[in-house]
Amino acid sequence: MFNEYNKLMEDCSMCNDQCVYGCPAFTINRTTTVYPGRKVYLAYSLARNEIDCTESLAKSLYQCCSCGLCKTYCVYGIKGDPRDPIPLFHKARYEIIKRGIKLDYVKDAEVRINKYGNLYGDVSIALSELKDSNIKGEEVGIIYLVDAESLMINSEASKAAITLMNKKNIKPIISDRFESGYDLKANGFLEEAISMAKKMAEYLNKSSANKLVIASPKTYYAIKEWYKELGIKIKQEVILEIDFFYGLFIVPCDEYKSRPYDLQNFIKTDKLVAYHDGSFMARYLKNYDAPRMIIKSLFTQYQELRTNKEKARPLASAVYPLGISEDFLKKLAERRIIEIKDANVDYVITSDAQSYAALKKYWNKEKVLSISEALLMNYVEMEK
Amino acid sequence: MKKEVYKSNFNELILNEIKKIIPDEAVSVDIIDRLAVAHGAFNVEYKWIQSGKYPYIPDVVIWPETTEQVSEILKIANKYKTVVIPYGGGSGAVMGSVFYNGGICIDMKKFTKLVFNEKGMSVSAGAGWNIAQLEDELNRMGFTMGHFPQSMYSATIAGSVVTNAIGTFSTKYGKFDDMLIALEAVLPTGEIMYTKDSPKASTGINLNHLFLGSEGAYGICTEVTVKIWPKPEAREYSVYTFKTTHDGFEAIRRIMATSLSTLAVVRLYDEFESVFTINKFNFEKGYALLYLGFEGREDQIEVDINISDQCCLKEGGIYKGDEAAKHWERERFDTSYGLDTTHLYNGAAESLEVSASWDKLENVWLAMRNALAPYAQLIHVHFSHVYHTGGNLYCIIHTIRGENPKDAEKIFLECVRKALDACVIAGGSVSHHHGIGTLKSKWMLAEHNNGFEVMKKIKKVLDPNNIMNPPVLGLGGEANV
Repeated sequence: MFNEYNKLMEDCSMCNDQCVYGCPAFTINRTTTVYPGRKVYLAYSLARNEIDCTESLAKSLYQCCSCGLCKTYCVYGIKGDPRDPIPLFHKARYEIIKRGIKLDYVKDAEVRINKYGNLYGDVSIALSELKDSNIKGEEVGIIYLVDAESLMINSEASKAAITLMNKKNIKPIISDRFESGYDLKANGFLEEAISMAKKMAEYLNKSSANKLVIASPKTYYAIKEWYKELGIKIKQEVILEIDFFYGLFIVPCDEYKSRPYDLQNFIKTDKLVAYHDGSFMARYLKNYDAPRMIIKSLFTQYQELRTNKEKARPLASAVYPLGISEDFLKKLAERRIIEIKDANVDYVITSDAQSYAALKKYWNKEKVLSISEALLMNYVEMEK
Repeated sequence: MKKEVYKSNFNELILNEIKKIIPDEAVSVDIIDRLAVAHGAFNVEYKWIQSGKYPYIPDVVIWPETTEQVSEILKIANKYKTVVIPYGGGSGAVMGSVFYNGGICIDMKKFTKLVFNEKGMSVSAGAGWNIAQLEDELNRMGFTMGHFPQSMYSATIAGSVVTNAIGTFSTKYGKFDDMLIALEAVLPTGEIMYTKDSPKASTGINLNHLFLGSEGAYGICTEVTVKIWPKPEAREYSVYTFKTTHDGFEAIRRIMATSLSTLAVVRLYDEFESVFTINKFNFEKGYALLYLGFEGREDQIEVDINISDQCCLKEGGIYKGDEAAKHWERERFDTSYGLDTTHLYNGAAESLEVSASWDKLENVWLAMRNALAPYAQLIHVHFSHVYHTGGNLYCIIHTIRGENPKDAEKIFLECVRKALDACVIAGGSVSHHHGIGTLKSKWMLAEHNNGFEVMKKIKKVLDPNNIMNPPVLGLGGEANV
């Protein structure tokens, strides 16, 4: 069991636990049981048949929001080879479910997956509204994928993205499939996840589009990296929404070489803004520059938050937070919001759905923007 | 050793009494929670993990949140004469939290009170604060504790009290006994005691010292008040090479006699440990290496760098810029090199940190090196904390021999025995900041002579039922080595 993680299980079971410094599960929960290294040790003990597969083991293994900070602070990372226990946790969750240990929230999740094909529930209305907002422009071979998470908790960001595309005379095809499978895999539904991934690939490969623009950094990571692990190929060029807009609006002309960060079509707003690096953007994709360059072009003042880029504290779970309590999620957001309040900014801009929703819920609805909303807010039509 | 350690043998009566004072969810007899707190960070504990089922685990884990709850737990433990071991970050390197006979583990990390006293230049923190997270909070407010032990990302602040710890910038900010102002603790029989936050008092014995280095044997520390400093304006380094380690010692003695207020880091690497850095930076081969680090006001740093430079040059030091020291700063929390050896089935690595006065330190260094030479594959020695009267010696040992984890354990412990025997004969103290635990308890008599009897008497009065972490410090149980 977990043979592919043998080295990791040995290394993390016998390390100095420096990663607990960054780990939100420990910082909020404050028990040794949820240390990343100790959870690995529990998985290792299960693999060696030293302990039974129980509900309490399952509960402890769900106390991880996949943010990746353990990898950032891994002692082996100082010399450039950090260990990543998160895929092992995902696999261990799968193993536990396979052995018939199903916590109540796992059973509920299973029902939602069977009924809706995702963990978030019925997203058909949100998808239909999104399609309705796609009103003008030319079909230029772009398919736009908004995942179930984004549809459910921040569809306004995707509507803004569509409006922007329309304004640039692009009418994307809105993907009818919205589940990459990654959230399912992360929460232990590996077989369902692979099935979803295959269906997604089949759908995309049948599409006439030659470019796939993906709203969510997590789904982009899933299709670019996880699908590769699964041997699943997508025929389209795969582009993250932020990178797409960066390419769409950055002025390529020689005359702008001296001020390459300027954007066409946009005014600058005299406000102080900060960018929150979501877990997938910062730690999985290491994409720091594109959002910052767009934001700095749109606002007169920019402030880095106290922890940023790879070390940014998360605002929310990086994957669907199965087994993570509402109280935990509130405390998780509040730890980051302290840093946001210290920065005293007018707006916080972020690029992932969970962070966006957490900011709106726990901080200030009026001060949160997605990249696409920030672009739309500052958009002006060019003189003909 | 109990036959079936993975089964909780805990008395239901005790459990029921504990659950009257602690919420159900804060008490666990589940193997998941008990296994998680079973080990610290010493290589022998890792060898036990490697060997299969872990041999020593507690019967119950409790997560109290208040000092009063700890007090009540200890009263119950006394009533039933049950062993109690407090558990902090789990970073201990001397087997100081081994549940040889099961018992109660009190996991202290839910103690997260924080009171910032800007005018009093101190902070009071709950025992469970992760040191690096506490430092972050202070940095937010423009302050620092100046306490940067290598374990700071995993250790708790109370762990620094009970091991009498130290951080790498100790020359400026002091040892933990210099940093500690006051504390709150629960005595083994459940009484709660406090010490005052006066900067100094001539009012009898300083009871902070009952807990500094106490390793959970004299009670449980629940709150810690430590000094804070404004965040320094600047940090600078100087690097020197010396023909011999002896010349480096002499330069350091000269520097320490001048009391430089910004001097924070002094690290002298002997000719053997210097090899890697000297090769990397192309310095003179076969030389010893000295890093000096300074923190504070820029103008003061400039003066101190000039004075220390004169001291080094007088002893034949050759100035080498600052890059090697900056490289050390970037990688100073890296313990992976030792872990890689320990992860080998027949390997083990760990450091022994001892101390001695200037007149004995060189002898201790030679004695330990020579004692280990026939047994250890790799011996690295540096001197990383220095004082007016002496310094600390950090001896990193790697052994790769035998066939299996059991052999590795035996061989490494033999190295510990050889090295510490040599240290004691040469006049050194067997621990500078990791503590004694069960690893070094054999040397307590040699370390303290009659003073060890005094410690035992204090233990007997404070802990009549010998419930508090009995095997550590050699006070109440069998030593492991």
